[in-house]
Amino acid sequence: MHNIEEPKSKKVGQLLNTLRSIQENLGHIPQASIHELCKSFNLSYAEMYGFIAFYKDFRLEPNISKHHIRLCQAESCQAKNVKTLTEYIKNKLNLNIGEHNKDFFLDSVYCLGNCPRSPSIMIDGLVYGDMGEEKFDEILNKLRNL
Amino acid sequence: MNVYISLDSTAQSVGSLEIYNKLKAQNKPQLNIKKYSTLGLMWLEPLLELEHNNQRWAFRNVNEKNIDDILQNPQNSKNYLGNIEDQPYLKNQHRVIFRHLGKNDPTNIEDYIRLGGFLALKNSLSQSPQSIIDKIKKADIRGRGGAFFPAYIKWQTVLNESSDTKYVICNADEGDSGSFADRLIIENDPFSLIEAMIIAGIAVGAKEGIIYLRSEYTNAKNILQKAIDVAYKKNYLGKNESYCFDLKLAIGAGAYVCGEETALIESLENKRGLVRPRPPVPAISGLLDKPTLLSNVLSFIDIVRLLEGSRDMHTTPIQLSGACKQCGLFEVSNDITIEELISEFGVTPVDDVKAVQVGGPLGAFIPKEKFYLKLNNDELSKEGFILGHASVVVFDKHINMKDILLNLIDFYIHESCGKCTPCRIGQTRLKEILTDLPNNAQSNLNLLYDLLETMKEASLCALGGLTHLSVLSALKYFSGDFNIGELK
Repeated sequence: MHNIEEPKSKKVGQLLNTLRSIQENLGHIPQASIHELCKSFNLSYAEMYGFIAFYKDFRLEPNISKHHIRLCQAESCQAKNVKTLTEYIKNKLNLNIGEHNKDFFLDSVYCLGNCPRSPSIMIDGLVYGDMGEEKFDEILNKLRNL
Repeated sequence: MNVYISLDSTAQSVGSLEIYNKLKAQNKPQLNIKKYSTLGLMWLEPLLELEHNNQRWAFRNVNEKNIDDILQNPQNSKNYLGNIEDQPYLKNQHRVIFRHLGKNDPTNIEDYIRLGGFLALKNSLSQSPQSIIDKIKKADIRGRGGAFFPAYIKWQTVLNESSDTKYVICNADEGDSGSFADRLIIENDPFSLIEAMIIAGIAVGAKEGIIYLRSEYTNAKNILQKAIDVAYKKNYLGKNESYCFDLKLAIGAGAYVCGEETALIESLENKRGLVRPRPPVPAISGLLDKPTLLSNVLSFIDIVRLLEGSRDMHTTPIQLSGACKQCGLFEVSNDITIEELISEFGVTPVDDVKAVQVGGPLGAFIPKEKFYLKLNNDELSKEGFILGHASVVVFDKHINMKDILLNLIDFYIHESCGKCTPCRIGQTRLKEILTDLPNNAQSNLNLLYDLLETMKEASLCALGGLTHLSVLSALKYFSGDFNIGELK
């Protein structure tokens, strides 16, 4: 109820930002947070769930993987044969796109804005350009030794 | 000796941060290491410049192994380029929007002021809002988001609305693949964007601004937030004696469709990013039903350049990528042809190229026989193509266009917001039909043309409305890759 007097403009963009910070802290959006957020944003559970489910970045399940790998599948990377590289990485990690194990979550992304140095991948928030099989193996070794 | 290196995310993606850290760790008193904006010459990154007796020596593709050699024996290094300003790929550009690249520390406000920053703001404060908008009208500035809509109409509409609350929103949700110009501005020249937003606020009567940035741009987010904090500290943002303008950053969450202006507004209102039917247009009823000036990053920058007096001509910042030897940002006059771009700036033989896609994922695939076309919207649209954000992705002769198109349609399916039926169902049907080719080719194609016509006419936004460009151009010019032979 305390939110009713608050001007609506204060909440502009806030749900995105709040969910992001919850996920950064907890790795996902837990059910308990959803109920809390419904109250503070004056939204029904259905509206809140619909919001979270719409945006690809948010996850409702805990993230058990240590590293998040995102392979760019957009045109410039396609032009630089990311298809072959994707197959290589899938085999190497024994994961399909969208799958995870305790070490890695393998994911796709559609453009990282790094097109001049395609193919690009993002690992734990950092972008790597000019990606190739050898370079990926090197990074993988470093990650496994962390 | 000054040492300049960029920490732009493309430079970092090929190792510039490691070099910066290594140089810092060496702790040599004779080296003054500065993190500077990138020049956008991305194939040279990590690019390092040494300033010695007022001369700047550039070195390409520096890495942790060759850096010591370069410092010890600069002019004998095989990475030595000479003065970067003399290189044809930079000398032959005409930089207006990107005039600060390579000349500043992105978050250093003194650097920005030294380059003429806040002059446009000062000029704006000494004239009426109407006079600012008249200047924009006279210069015929067009939006850079892809629609080339006259900018002054939006500004005038918002100014004319009588409302106690108005908003200015910058669309920095640069989701179109192949585009990276917005990111370059935000990471390398963030104060230009901040200044533009303040001027827009003053001109249309808005006291609040929001920049909606895509989440994939983590480096851009950190730099922009830092620049906003500095601008508040120096009283350019917030309340001062001349004006009051607050600016905040909202970060998207991986939905491409939020780059569409009404979906972006829905997203800011804490809703799913569903496209709204128009009218009303955002300039009349936008964020929280208030008049809202919503433009893309480069459209705002263009206006700052106009008001500071540095916009001496209309340029096109082309973003070149894909199978090309030299990829990066080439800001040039708008009469450059596709062939000139690829051979002169990209240094790639046109004979090795099969197609280019211009204007992002919704742009057409343009075949080699059309490379005489100039990269401006008037000329491209005569042929049924678009310039969009002026991104050009090059595909070499080994590429199969059906593979590229099917991958693209997966993207459309995934990113359709689902609000309108033609796009939600049409994209999936499109994939089914194309996958089934070359079976029942003629009947499948008739179905496909019907479907694309419906999507074009009945979709709420460009995602469904422009799908026909990529599909029809691929089928028309590269029919060999679809094994459909000669058809009507």
